[in-house]
Order: sequence, then structure tokens, then C-alpha cells
Amino acid sequence: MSKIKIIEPGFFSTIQDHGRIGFRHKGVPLSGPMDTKGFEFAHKLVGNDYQKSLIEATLKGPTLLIEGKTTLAYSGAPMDVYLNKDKMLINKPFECNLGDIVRFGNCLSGVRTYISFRGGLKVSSVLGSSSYYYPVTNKKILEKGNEFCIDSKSENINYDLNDITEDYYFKDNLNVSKGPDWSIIPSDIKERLFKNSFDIGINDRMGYHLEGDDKLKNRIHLESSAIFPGTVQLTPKGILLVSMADGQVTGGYPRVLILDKSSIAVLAQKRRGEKIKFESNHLRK
Amino acid sequence: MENELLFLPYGSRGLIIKFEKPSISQIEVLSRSFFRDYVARLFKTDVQDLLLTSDSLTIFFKESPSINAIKKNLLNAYDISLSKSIDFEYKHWEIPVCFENNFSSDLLKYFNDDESKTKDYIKRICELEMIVQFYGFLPGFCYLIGLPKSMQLKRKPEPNLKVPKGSLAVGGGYAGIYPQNSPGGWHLIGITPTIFFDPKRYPNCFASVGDKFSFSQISIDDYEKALKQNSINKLPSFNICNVKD
Repeated sequence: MSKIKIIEPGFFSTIQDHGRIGFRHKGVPLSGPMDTKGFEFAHKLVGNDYQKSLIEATLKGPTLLIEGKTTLAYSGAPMDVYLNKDKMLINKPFECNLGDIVRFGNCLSGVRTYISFRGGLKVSSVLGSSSYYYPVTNKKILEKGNEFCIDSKSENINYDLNDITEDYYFKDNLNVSKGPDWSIIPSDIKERLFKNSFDIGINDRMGYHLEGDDKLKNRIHLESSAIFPGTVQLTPKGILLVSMADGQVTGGYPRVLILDKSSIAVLAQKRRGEKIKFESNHLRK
Repeated sequence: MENELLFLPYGSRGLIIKFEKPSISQIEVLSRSFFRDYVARLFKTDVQDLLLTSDSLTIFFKESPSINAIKKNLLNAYDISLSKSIDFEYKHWEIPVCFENNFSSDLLKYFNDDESKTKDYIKRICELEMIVQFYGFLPGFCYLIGLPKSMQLKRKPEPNLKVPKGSLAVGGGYAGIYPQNSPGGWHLIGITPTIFFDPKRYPNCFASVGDKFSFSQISIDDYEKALKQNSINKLPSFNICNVKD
């Protein structure tokens, strides 16, 4: 059976599958890929279904030793990638053999790169998912020396690959719909949410901070309630918190907006200091 | 008891059922928990998850629901859960907590180093019976209600970046136990060796919404001894009770 070994883990690499569904009521977040588009593209390129496990690399990718024949592909954020001495292109599956070294370098744009292997990685499942989320899973990130078997026997799906693009996240407008607390937001704040552009602040797999201005300050008080990824909460200080894959299951700030699935993917590829704007087909004033 | 429910769509597959007020009594928590279970049975495999919080129940459907079509069923389920106001079974857990040394340092600071006030607070919290209102924040983190006004502590202005696993803490009207190391803005008053979340244990979280907690004081030696034995994942002791009792 083919295997891969982690020679260098990269900056922040995790295993991800579809996520941990159905455990929110115990406080367990969903997890799964930050950018589902990049995740799905990577799996499609090697003929995998979306239940399979792959590597999500952040800013700098891992170096892998290939132990046995396998086909792999990467999607999402482009990186400098070398198979031994040959440069490998994004969204183009390539074959590797025993003893090959695949080196993923720095992200050239975006943040997150998805590395999928034909058949998927075999990773033990905790509460129905292999997605790393410490301490639900023992591991937080990939570490040097980790080894994974590849499930090469699984069915190869023939996808239409025409919709796979590199530029899906090259935009600054995020499409939103109204959050459940939209109706209690003062109208001047509602207008500002669509008029302003927002600087991306600190961010990780739990969420993105969007830096607002003083005019978004508010005194809305709510009880803690359910939050799911893509939800935008407005804090009393006027900062917007966008919940992402590992985001907490509850939150106490008004849920003003909800990003659609492809806008979550776009945001997941943004870095601190970049700007975004909200747009909506339904909420435009 | 209240009767009004507010229905709020949350994205395309979420539905928030908002109650008139946050639950404040054990009977309210238990009847809402019964409502949640009833709704779960009503929609069976159409539902991915249900999350009960202090004043809402959020249902995550697999496909977009037609809210108008299911409203009547939900209202009916709620009426049934309200009429079933007695005869709820629950567990009363005794959680061992060590209040010694630096585990209660936040409390001492809160009372400006007044040791007798700190001791008095610890004595009083050990006399309380607290109710699990909901799970949130972290895997296995229960929000506990039942703190009298005089024992509620305003949250810290700046969060502590490293709250140790097992810390019993108070924030506003809630108490809670950190099931893992985490940042947190609540005042730390003690620490328990009890494991509140274990993905490999069945059940992952031993306490159900509506259960009662009491805290019993243990020494630092007992705490450390229990920590070492936690490899066997011992559950705290409990009694099965009924609201009629």
C-alpha cells in the first residue's frame, strides 16, 4: 500500500475532511476545510469523493516523501511545488513513485492550499471526522515524521473538471444574506455595513476579525446563541467577527450577516491587511 | 409559564426558535430539553443537529425547511412539552473541586485580598445546587445557572490567555468548568480533576442539560491524586432524582 511521510510539516498543515457533523450540542465545532472550493477542486482532480481526507496547508506547505505509487493534485492557493526537481502546476494531477520527494513552498497568493491524493489519506476518525481539532483530536497540526497510508482501492469518480479555476478567490466583494439578528440592528449601522470596506484583522481557523470603525459601536445585548461558520457577528466595539470552520458553536454578539458558501472560500484566502466589502442582492438599500 | 415562540430563519438550513425569556429554573430547562428531544424525534433524519441555549433552540436541517409547513408541528410539540411539567428525571452530580492555593487567585483578587470574603464565597458556592443550562463555547463546556445575585461576578476586562483545564470559573450570572486549556474571561475560583469532555468515552459529556451540580471541596493532594487516576476516566458520583422529589 502506498504511503506518504511528512519530512517537513510546513507552517500550519492539518488533515481535513467534510467536518464533524452533529456534535454542536456538545460544544464541538464543525471543522472541515476553510475554503471548501479549493478542497473540492483538489479532490475532483484526483477523482475522490468529498468524504475523503486531505492536507490543508497554510502559507507554506509541507515536504513529503512518497512511499509507493500515487497520484496527487493541489488546488486553492498556488504554491511553488517541486516533484524532485520538476516544477508542478496547480490544478494538474501528477504521478509520484516510491522515493519521490514533493516540496510545497510558499503561497504565491491566497493563504490555503489543498493537497489531495488519489483515494484519500487514511486517518483515524474522531466523532465522525478526521479533521484535526485539538483536543478533540490528539493532533493539532502535521508533524515531522507523521505517516499516512493512501486508500488506493477506493472508487475513482469521473468529474467534469471544466469549472476548476485559479481565480475564484480573486475578488474583494463578499456576498451576504441577513443574519438572524439583522432586524434589531440600527439602520445607520446597516447602511455602514454595505458602504464601508473592512480591513482584515487577526484571523485563524476559528474566525476572521474585520476592523470596523467607531460608528459601528453599539450596546446591543443578547444571550449566547448558536453560531455556524460564515456568520458575521458585530461586537460592542464595532469589530466584525466572521466565524470560520473551527469557530465556536455559540456566541453572544448580534449575528448581523451570513456569508454564502463561495464567499467563505474567498475570505479563507485573504490575509491580514487586505480589504473586503459586503454585497447583497437582497439587502441593498 | 411562557407560551410565545418566535421563529427566525438562520441561513438556508437553520431555524431558530426563540423563547420569550432565558430559562431560569430547573423545570424550565428540563421542559425545553424535552422539547428539543421531541423536535429531534419529530424530524428524525431531516435534522443534522439541535442546539439549545438559554433562550433559543436552533435546529440545523439537512435541507432547507419550509418553515410555514412545520410551524404548526413545532408549536404543538412545544405545548406538549409545557404540559409535561412534572415527572422529569435528572442526575445530581457531585463535582470535586480544589479551592486551594492559586486555583482561587482570581477570587482573592476580586475581593482585594480579603481572605475571609474569599473563604465565605467558596463556602457558599459549595452549598449551591447549580443547573446545566446548555453546552457551548468549547467541547464539553456547560453553562451553569443558579448563582444568586450577590455571588455574580462581572467578567474580567481582559481575558486570561491560559485558563487551565478543569478550572471552575464564574462570569456574570454563570459558572462553568473549562474542559480544556483555553483563553477565558471568567474569574477562576477552583479546579476539578473531573474530565468534562472525552471523545473516546461514552457519553462524551456525562452531564445532560437540566442536570444538577454540587461542588465538594477537596485538598490539593486529593486533586493531584485524582489527576493521576484520570487515565481510567472516573465519572463523579451522582444520584438519580426526579423533580417531584
